[in-house]
Amino acid sequence: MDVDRIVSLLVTKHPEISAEDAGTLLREWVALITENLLREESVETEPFGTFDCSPVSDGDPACPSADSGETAKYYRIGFTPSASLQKRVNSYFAHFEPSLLNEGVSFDELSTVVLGEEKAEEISDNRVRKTVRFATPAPSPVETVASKPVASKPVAVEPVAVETVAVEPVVSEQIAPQTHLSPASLQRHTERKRKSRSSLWIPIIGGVAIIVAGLFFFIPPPPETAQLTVDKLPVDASAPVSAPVSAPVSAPVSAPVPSPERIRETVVLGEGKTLRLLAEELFGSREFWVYIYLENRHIIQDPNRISVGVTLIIPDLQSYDIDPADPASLSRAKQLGNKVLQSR
Amino acid sequence: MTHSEMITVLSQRLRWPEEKVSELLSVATEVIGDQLSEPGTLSLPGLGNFTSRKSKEFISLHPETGERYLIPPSIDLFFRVAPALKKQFEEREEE
Repeated sequence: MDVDRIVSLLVTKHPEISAEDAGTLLREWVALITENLLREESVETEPFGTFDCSPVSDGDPACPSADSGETAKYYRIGFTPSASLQKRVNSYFAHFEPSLLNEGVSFDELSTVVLGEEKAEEISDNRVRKTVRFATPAPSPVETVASKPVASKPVAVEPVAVETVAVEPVVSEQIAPQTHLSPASLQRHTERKRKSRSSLWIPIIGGVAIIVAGLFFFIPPPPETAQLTVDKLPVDASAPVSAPVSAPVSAPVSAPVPSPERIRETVVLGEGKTLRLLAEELFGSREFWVYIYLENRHIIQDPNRISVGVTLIIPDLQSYDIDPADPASLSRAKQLGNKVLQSR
Repeated sequence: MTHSEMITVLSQRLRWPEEKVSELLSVATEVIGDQLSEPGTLSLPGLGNFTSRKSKEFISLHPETGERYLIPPSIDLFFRVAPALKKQFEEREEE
């Protein structure tokens, strides 16, 4: 029983929780979810995900054809994992990110997929069927709604004394609600309509957010407004490079300093940062990561594994000819980066 | 039903304080998430099975620019409804 396994893991991880409490909570949680799904309502569990029960619409492969003549409606019960669950589940791969391959680099054992033609996600058979049966209608205000003419295909049903309702049961989402004669189901229908209207805003807002994020990343920030905390460290032959600096100085990254000592700028590697991300923030392109690595070779053993909190020297732009607007500079950096990775 | 509504209902049913329910549920879902980070299947009786599978790394080709990207591996989650829940659903008739 997997519930017992989860309970034992819970108790092991948190000894202050009793096995009885954990088991009771899990069972009640599952029972509550199933009750809501049976009522065709979605349930959200914040750190986990959302369970929902939605009608299968026309055009969906799970929807049977209208010619089937069945007096049934079809729903699909689904689970959408939350972002935090997906992050947790993919924690082992968190440090990997898509990387651009140069021409000539190939991996024979890997398959190549054209963008946009990725294999469709496996669709489990989570379709459920609910029988629709006519009851003898009593005169009610709801009947006037149901009696609107609809373009539906007549389906043979058991004979009932229907006087005013001229609606046949169908599978489509738009027409089916009009066959309901109960106020509760009508209310559910209007709630569903409200939810679907409000859910239109989500992709619109998402699209606007993507456009704003794209503008933010593609328009390089002016040097004066650099967000990084850059510590200026006077380079002394006897001083260790990784010595901490007491006062952070907010100054442009590439500002020349007219002093007898050569001032080297450093940056502390924050959580979730990689050399590529750092290079993009400092120089405007991820390809210049290799110069950060070369400048800090004495403290970086593996460019793919660097501890959080390490102080890295920012390479001088002129020394390495770093120019994100120059394709030759980008190409040189890319080639050097590949060479470094292949030599490991 | 939102998360907070669910906490309230569970708290009333179990007669526990809402903080206790919220904390326990958060910890339980963390444990379930940790289990799902390893490829395999986790079953919640009465609800369904959660399956996590590792999808291998592959190369994604942009059809217009010809650029190729190495996409790292990832864990994908799948959910399959329990037959008991399906049966309960089908036994309900709508009028």
